[in-house]
Amino acid sequence: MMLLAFNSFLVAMLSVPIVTLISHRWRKGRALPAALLMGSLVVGTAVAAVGFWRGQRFQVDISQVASFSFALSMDRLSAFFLLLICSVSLPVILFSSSYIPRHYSGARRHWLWVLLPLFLMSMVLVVTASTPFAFLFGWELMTLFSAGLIVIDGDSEQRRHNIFIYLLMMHAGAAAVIGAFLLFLPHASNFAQMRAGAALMPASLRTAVFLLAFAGFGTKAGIVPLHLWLPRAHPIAPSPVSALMSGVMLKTAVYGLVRFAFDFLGGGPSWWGYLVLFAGAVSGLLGVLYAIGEHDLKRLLAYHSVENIGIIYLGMGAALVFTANGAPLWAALALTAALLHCLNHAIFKSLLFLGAGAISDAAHTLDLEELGGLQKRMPVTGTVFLIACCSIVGLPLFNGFVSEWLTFRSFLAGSEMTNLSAAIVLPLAAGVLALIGGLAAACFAKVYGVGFLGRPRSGEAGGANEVSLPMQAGMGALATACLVIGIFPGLVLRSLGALTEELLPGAALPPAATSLSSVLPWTALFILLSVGGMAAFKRAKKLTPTWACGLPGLDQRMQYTSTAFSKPLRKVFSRVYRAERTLEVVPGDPPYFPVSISYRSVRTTSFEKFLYRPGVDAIVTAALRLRRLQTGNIQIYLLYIFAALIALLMFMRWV
Amino acid sequence: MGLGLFETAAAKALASSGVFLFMTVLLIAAAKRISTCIALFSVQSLIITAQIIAVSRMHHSTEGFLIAGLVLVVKVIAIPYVLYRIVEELEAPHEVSSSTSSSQSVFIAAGLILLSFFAVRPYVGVLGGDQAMLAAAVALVLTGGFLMVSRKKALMQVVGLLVLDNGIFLAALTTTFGMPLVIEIGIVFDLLMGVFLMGLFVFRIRDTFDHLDVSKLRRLRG
Repeated sequence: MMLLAFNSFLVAMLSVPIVTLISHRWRKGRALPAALLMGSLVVGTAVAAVGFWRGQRFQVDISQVASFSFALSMDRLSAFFLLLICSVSLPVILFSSSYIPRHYSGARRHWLWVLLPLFLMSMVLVVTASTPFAFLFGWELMTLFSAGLIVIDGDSEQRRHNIFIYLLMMHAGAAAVIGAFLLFLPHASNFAQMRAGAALMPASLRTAVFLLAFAGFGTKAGIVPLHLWLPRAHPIAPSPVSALMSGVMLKTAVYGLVRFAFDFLGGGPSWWGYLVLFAGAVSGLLGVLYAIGEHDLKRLLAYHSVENIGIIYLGMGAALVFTANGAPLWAALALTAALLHCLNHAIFKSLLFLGAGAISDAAHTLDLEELGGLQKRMPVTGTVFLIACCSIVGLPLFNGFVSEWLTFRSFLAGSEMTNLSAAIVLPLAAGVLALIGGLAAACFAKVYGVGFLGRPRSGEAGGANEVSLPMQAGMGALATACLVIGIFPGLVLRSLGALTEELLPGAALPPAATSLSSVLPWTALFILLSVGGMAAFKRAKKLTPTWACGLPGLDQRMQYTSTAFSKPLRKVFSRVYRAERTLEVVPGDPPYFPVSISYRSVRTTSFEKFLYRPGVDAIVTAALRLRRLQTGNIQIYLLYIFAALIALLMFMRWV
Repeated sequence: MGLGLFETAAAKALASSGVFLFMTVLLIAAAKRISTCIALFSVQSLIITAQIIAVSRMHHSTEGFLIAGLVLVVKVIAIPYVLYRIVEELEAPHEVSSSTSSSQSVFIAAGLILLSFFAVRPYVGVLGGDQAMLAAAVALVLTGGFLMVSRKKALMQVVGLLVLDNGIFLAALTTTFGMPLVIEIGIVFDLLMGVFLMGLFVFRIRDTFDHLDVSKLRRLRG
């Protein structure tokens, strides 16, 4: 039954591109691809949900028919990530069904509907694959299809450069992943064999596998300093695609690392854990700091993806440290927190990117400095955006709180470790997480406050209207999911506990996790009642105009800008930003009245400057030197052959 | 042993044909006109033809005579004729325009001959055959390559290739007494077609660029 449903899900998804190409001439068939895709995603969600909650397994193996070993199978881990992919992309597709026709026409629209299902399909392949071949097949297609989706959105020199960097880094990452798989040879024909083979490996080989997987999946996940592509590629994609890339695609990298580190290798020495922990802490902090400095909404959100991946890595790192120190209970808690944060981040980050799409749809800009006052003009979008903001900064009763609280809980439990370094590092990591959370709160106060409150800063923002109903519905569904998981985390936590028990032998979810899920609903009820009570006994409102310091009226230029709001934080962390400021003053005839003054502040990330630039420069220099070999003169080429011939003759004589 | 004067002379000449080949090599290196090079190539091919006839008489093979006829027709007559016609019709300067001077080229060719003696020495015992002949074969290959590298005219690249091919042919002849007939025929016709195609290209190059200097054809480099 499950197998049949899964197969029909795959077939339905693969048929969407064909249906798109057939039906695009037929006027009534416009909505067909979206409907078919949503239908198949509903089936996929159902299959994944049953697999995740009941723990059912099944396998689709075509190795017998095909000449290569290609098999898909589903265990709880796969089911969880499949659930994440299908359930999050369902509202995103609902949103797109209205967004895409409004923004793209003709061939570009058809290409979007052809590539979107293929992109989703490749992610499904990655998380359900049970042979290295199937995994890598999906992994490569995922990169290519997402790059294709970015290409659809437009063409310029800058965009090509960004796409090039994206593809380059993805291929480098894929090379590391392939290397990690190759190290399992000769036990690498399917995942079960690899699991058994990993136990027989010498320690040095296990370390090599782990490091390759860490680097390869880290590139996809966008951990600092491998994040360079992320703030370039995500903002230039169509908004629903950004939502899928940031919300869903990054999680496949987390899946890969969990699969390798916990499932295949079964944990390792504690320095693996510290490495992941450190990468997470650095990514989290720098991600949120760079986000604060941005005022393009989508770039800001992309940097927040780096931050949230950092939080997920913090959880995974803690789990590895706990496993190495023989504390499976807390390891289970930390891993559960990391996995739950994957799901949560997928939900609220997709919602935020869809919100960005809705804003660009209504106000035609994503520059925070030109937005403002959108809450009044777009009440539904504003509300769901607020919910997403509350979730991402981890306020209680929203889903981000649950996973971040569990991560905190596991870190604080680290102080009970007998191992001194673990007892010091883990509580310190809790401090880092707290700092990340605080900075994220500041950042989203800026986003929501500048974007949605106050007065519009441009005519376009002033003329914004609420977006269409399917777009509202898509965002609304995701916002509901934020609240449901935030108030009833037990729905997911119990099955996640079962999942971590499968991954970590001898583990069980500690009562700390379950206690939370019994507190939250009552808190929510209490808050609901008190808010209701206050509303019932509210005194009559008296409306007066805002006091403008005695000036005749309010002007939108009196408002706090996005840059001004973040200035104090940027001042405190000025060492991180290292902005290059240039002030150009062209003096006038009397020097006191300059003709023009221009000020530019460019923030290149230090990684680009100090880590990547020297490497790139060295390669380019070497290539230019080698280019001298290529004179273009036919006789010189003949001379090379001639010289090789003579050298070989001499060589043969001597040997 | 009743050998007549003529036969004795022929046998002596054949035995020392390696030396004649070395002479052609040195002369080609020294030559300043393209037509001289073509004539020398023709002479070279004639010496090789004589070699083939001698080898086939020794082994009593009829195939050998066929090959000799083929080589005579194609390499001694047809290809040089075609090349002459091209040189005539091009109405271009007839100098080989070498990047090394004439005397330098002779020295280099002499060095290559020494190198080939040096290179073949370990194989003489193994492969059989005359050391001078084997060395001549290698020397032809090397000189052909040298001509292609150092001469700037596109036509001289053709001549260099032909000399190189003579070397390969001779190497096959001295070590294994020639290749099977079918292969020989294939190679000879391949060469003929090659010369025709290159002649075609030489005209195209002249028409497009108004010169034949390959050292100036470098606009396509990446």
